[in-house]
Amino acid sequence: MSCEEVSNLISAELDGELLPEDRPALEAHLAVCVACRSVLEAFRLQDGELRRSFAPRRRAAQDLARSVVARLRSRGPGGRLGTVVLQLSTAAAGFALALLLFRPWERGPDRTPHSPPIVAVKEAPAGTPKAHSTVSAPIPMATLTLAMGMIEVLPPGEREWKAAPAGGPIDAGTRVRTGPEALCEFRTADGSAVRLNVATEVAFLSERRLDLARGQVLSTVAHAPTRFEVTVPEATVAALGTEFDLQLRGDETQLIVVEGSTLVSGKTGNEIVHRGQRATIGRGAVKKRDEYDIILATSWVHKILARKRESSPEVAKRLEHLLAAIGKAKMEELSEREVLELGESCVKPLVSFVRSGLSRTDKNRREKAAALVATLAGRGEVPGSAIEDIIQLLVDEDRNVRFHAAVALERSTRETQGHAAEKWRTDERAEQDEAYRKWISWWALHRAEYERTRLKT
Amino acid sequence: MSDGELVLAALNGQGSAYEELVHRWTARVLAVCHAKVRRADVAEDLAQETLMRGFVALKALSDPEKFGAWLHGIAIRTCLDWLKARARKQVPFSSLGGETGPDGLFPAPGDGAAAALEKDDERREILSEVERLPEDLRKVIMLFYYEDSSYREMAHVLGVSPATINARLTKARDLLRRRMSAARR
Repeated sequence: MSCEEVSNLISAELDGELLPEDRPALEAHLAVCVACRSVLEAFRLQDGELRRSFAPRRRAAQDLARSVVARLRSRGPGGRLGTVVLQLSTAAAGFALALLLFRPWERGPDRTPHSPPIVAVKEAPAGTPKAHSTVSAPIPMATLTLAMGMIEVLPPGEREWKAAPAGGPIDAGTRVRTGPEALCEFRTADGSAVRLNVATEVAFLSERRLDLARGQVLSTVAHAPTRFEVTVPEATVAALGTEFDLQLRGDETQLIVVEGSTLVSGKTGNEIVHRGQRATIGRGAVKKRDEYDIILATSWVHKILARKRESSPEVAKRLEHLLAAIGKAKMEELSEREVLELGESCVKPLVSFVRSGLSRTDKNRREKAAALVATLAGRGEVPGSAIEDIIQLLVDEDRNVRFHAAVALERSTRETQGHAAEKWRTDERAEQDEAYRKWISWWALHRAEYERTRLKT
Repeated sequence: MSDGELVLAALNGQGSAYEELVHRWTARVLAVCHAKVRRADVAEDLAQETLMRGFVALKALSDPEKFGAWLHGIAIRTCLDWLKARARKQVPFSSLGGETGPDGLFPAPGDGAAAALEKDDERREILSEVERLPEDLRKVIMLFYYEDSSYREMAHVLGVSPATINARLTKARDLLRRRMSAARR
């Protein structure tokens, strides 16, 4: 072995990196080579000098790290990674404000829950002294919270599929499938929502691990220390608090990230796919990706959201996106269709949007929103609790908004107060004021009745 | 948690995750910046700039497990920006630090060498010699002594093999030894 090669081994020895198999050769050479023994001694002394010289630099590095952390923290919530700077138009900003003021997702006394309650802890049997009560059922891993059509489960160890009861618990290892026209929603114990599209089969391996065998699943993942993962052929898609949609298409998987980021792990390595992106996964790797309208791409879930009969932050977010798209020529028809798909749950947010002061400068969107309310009224999708707010639209400055509000009221209540919808488009304010006062009086008499029931035409 | 897991957590809004990455990587970023610009004081500013740029651009990182190498690239670009800006300026001699020579980049030969060596002078001398090494050699010396990085860790950051790290460290040490001996004669 040459002295040059040995000098490398000397360095490795000093650095604690010498491989066991190289030690005999190093020791044998040092035993006979004075020059290399001098090099070893010189390197050792020099190493000590360098460590002493760099000690202040190491301390500087620690101070610097603390300084950077302090600077990051001083950025406040606005510096939070992943926060999308929402470039709302004025109208959309008004909508967002209306939502914040209105909070349609807060349950009021006139709303009754449609979905089965999430099973938490069972009460102890009657007569059992509390001090000795041991009957506290464990929180199930997941629960079927909404079913539209035939949903079947295959618990671990069993051979026959059976109908899944609404509100029924799901144990680890259970397979679930939806029929050709069925959709459903599960809630896991950590609060994540797993929604299955038609003709889908999923295995719940654990609270935060699924296997997608076929079909399409949209996961809205709660934040937790452990990763939420869905395995697909030759890849795993993982997230730490996000919303993403996976659909098996032949040999490939389509991934759409609605919120946050996901990590795709396969044979060839890892890749991150971010919010707003659609990726095609094939043979364990991301083959292609593009920017995509994530709300429209996952609009199949609106059927599930519409069945909840009450607004939620999730509905509000989707509606906000769709309203923002209204007015963009190519997206308009598609977006309007998806708003209508959201159904009753978006009526109050739509009305609030129209009434919001910040939407006043966007005439087109306000009128569109009012027209959508009228359309929803024609489908019997206007909740009784929205009537009073729609009556207030009768005094709007925009004639088309007044017209659509009158249409919505007529369809919902079969009342006109003697003032046909078309007349609200004129400038005959005296007659309109009179009709408005009649509506107010009518509402005072019928309020209790309408707030209790869902309106049907 | 691995770097990749911290990156994901940071992308999903957990601020403490990026803070952990900062604590893990500051010394190495500082080493890279110091090696590039050969000034410790400037390197601190550039390292801070690098870490902040990393925070802002984290979404652009495609493979989270390659965070270190990615951050290294940002550090190099940040340093090059500074070097280019500096090259355009006319810097008066009076503004230069004690460790540097007239051009602000190379220590003047013999600075500090003729005087009796106190501890600070010894430290300054060896650091000056390190700063004079060829770039690929001073980078590995600084990465190693700023944080006791392993060969594998340095190889990951620099995109070379551990054997190359070993060879460069050896060459750097040998060159330092000969130059220090010459300076002290």
